[in-house]
Amino acid sequence: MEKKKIKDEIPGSIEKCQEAVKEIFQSSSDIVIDTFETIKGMAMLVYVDGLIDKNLVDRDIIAPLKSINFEGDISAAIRCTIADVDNMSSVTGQVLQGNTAVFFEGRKKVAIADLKSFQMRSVEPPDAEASIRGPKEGFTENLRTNTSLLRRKIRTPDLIMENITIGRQTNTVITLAYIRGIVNTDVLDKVKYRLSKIDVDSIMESGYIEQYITENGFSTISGIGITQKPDVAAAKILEGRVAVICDGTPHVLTIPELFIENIQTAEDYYNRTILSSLLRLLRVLGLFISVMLPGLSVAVITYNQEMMPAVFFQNLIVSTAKTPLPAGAEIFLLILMFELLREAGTRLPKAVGSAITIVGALIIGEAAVNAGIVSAPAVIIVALTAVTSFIIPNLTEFTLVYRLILLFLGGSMGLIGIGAGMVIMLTQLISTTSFGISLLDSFSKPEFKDSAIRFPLWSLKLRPLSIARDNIVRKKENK
Amino acid sequence: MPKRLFMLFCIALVLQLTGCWSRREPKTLALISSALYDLNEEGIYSTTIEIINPEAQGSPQDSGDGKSPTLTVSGEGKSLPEALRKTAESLERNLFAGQTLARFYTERYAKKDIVKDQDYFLRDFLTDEKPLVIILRGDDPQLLYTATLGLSNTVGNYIDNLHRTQDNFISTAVFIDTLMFLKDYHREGKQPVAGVAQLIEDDTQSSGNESKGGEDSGKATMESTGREGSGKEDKKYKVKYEGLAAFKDERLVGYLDAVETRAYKILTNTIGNSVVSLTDGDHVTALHIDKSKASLSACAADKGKKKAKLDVKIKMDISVMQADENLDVTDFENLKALEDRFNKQIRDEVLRAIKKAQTEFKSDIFGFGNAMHADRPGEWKKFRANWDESFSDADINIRIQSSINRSGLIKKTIKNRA
Repeated sequence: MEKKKIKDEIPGSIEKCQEAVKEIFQSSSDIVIDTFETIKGMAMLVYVDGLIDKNLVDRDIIAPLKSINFEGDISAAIRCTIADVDNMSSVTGQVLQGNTAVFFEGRKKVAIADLKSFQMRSVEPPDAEASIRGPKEGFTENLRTNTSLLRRKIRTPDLIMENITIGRQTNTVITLAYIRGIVNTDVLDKVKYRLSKIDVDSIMESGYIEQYITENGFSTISGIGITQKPDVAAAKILEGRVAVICDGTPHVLTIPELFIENIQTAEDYYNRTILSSLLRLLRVLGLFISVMLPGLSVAVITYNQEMMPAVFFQNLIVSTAKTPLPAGAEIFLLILMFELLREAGTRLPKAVGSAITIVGALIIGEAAVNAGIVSAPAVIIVALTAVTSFIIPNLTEFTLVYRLILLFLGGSMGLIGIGAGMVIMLTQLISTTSFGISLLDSFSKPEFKDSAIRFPLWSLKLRPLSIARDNIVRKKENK
Repeated sequence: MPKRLFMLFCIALVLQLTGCWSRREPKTLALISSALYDLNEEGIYSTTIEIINPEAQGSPQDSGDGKSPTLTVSGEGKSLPEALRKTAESLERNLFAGQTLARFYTERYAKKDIVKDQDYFLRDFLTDEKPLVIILRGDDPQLLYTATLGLSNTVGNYIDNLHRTQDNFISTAVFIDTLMFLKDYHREGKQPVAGVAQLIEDDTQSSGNESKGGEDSGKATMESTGREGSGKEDKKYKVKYEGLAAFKDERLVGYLDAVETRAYKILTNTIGNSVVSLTDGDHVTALHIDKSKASLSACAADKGKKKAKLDVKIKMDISVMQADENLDVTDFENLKALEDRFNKQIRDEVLRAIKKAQTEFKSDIFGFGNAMHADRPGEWKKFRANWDESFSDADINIRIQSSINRSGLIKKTIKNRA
């Protein structure tokens, strides 16, 4: 302990400093150690090549120090200093963050200058969550850009951005964004506590954080929302949620996320009431189709044929007469094929992506039916399921798992199996919580005005009661 | 953990309710579209069922290579279930009766007793009470499955489609499903009725045998698997679905014709909308029944409560569909006169139907007794035992009130050039 402390101190002479820095960074090729002479003594710069703007270093650090007017006071000479640190480990940390460390002969402190400049993606529309109405900008990989995007939406001193660094090796900077006075403090405390308990060597993406802090490790629903859009994140923060921004990824977490949020989009609030409500109902229908349709259709086709209209069943018999597989296996096979195609399509380079479309449309859609391997109704059922599964992208895990469970139950027990599957599904949904708030809590509170339908904005006077606790009035009564 | 085990146990209990054993893969099923039941004098039941032929009813691009869209198979036995099982002997698929649309009964079978055999249809889990009950008139009922049909490809679909359109639009036939038939049978003071189909010669399509090719999917020439050779190939028949079969308890006692059937539908408030033509020499006026409400009642006509009196009150909203050239619809008096003529005609028709039921059938198919049972339970107790006789010589009192609500888009008739 004692020994380390001595070592941590800034040595007096530049040679010693250089030795110390070299010992820390060994022979890393991207660490630049630049020693030069000033009229008052030796100076040394340490920075990471590629993270700083060399022109600025030249103009703001080297030029003033080499000037004949330099009087030996570093902090007076360098205007862009952000801190003065007095131990080596802080220096190391600052350099790795992209700052420039300025050592000076005989000075026991090191000036840290912020001259960051590195290659990053500009603000672009996100690849998912596309919207027709509303802002097109999306978060980027750069934390500071992301916080600025948020700050531009919410200009209040109450918007707090707290930084936490996690990851013994990666030292990833995590920013918690919330609004003081609106945020649900129980949730905020839980988030902070759980973040403080994370002790791993790397955080590569916000998905790491999501998995470390969720209470539903094995569940199909995490209770944590993901968004790439600043307007969505801002709206969620304004409802009392906490946003977790992780450096290096455009995916921002919003905590907590209730079940109903999956069928809501930002555009619902930008468009007018009736259209938004209809679209939300359509999404609810899409969710039902996506989860239930394969299982339900197999149950009805193989167990309860008398429930179908006569002509429909006649046609069904005709089209399945020549296929070898039972109805349930047919649908399972097609679901499998679809998932394979989708996975291939995601990984393929864009240039050959159309190849997958052709193969999928021709082989599955046409050839398989014509060859009598699968029946046309099964293709239609799975196609409808596949289309609807894209309507609610955040629930992909949930819909896929329950689709298969219901397919199995419907195929082995008929409608009663579907009923059992629904009970299992609802039990899980009801018993799942997100940071202490039940996922279905919004259904027990007077939040119906903004649930599966959306009332006009002027009538949404309160924040969602399941999340906001203290400052619940969103809109003041008109006088 | 015990909680979870308990949950698992509960879910396992569901397995008891159903399971793979009740699975019926569609491709293993022979879908019965309609069935024809017969009972001969020796007490042998015979069944002919019409099965959808999946090989023939292909998708639009593969129209079945000229194969018949249906297959008919027959079987005989000492009971209805036995006869039905016999039909399955030569089939490599399981019979599926859950989607049967119509059950035809031959006239001679209906004259004996078709009610007792309904027990099987309700008791068996595969058959149900949805199919229509239809009495097939005619000498050779087996010709049903060689008859030409409208635009449908199976007899069952043909009757089902008729049901959807005609029931509401033409009102000269009744469509009674098995459940309604049995409900009427069990209802006090109401006798059951059934639909009637008749095979009549079809002279519109007497083109002979060469039309067996691929293009006649609408014509539906059936292949017969278990039937004796068809010597009547040269004659084509078509199904005429009209009228009503009246029952007295479990036996068929007679038929109502189209006009009397409309009267029946008026009396039982099952009429949808219907056209009534009033003729006067060459002049024809067509009226349309928009709305009709009939209330039946029956009461004792004398103190001794031996003779009954039937009372019919009908209120109708009608509109003019076609006016003859002498009719001026702008004149209120003319409309009044028209209403009176209409009332008289409806009154005659209704009277004719009731009289027929009284004299020919001696069976209260309209439900006058049921009305008495509901309104005057005390009197009904006296009449109950011999209601059919009391009904037969009861006096009839008919009051009809109609009002013309609409006279159409034009004022004067189109023929009037003055």
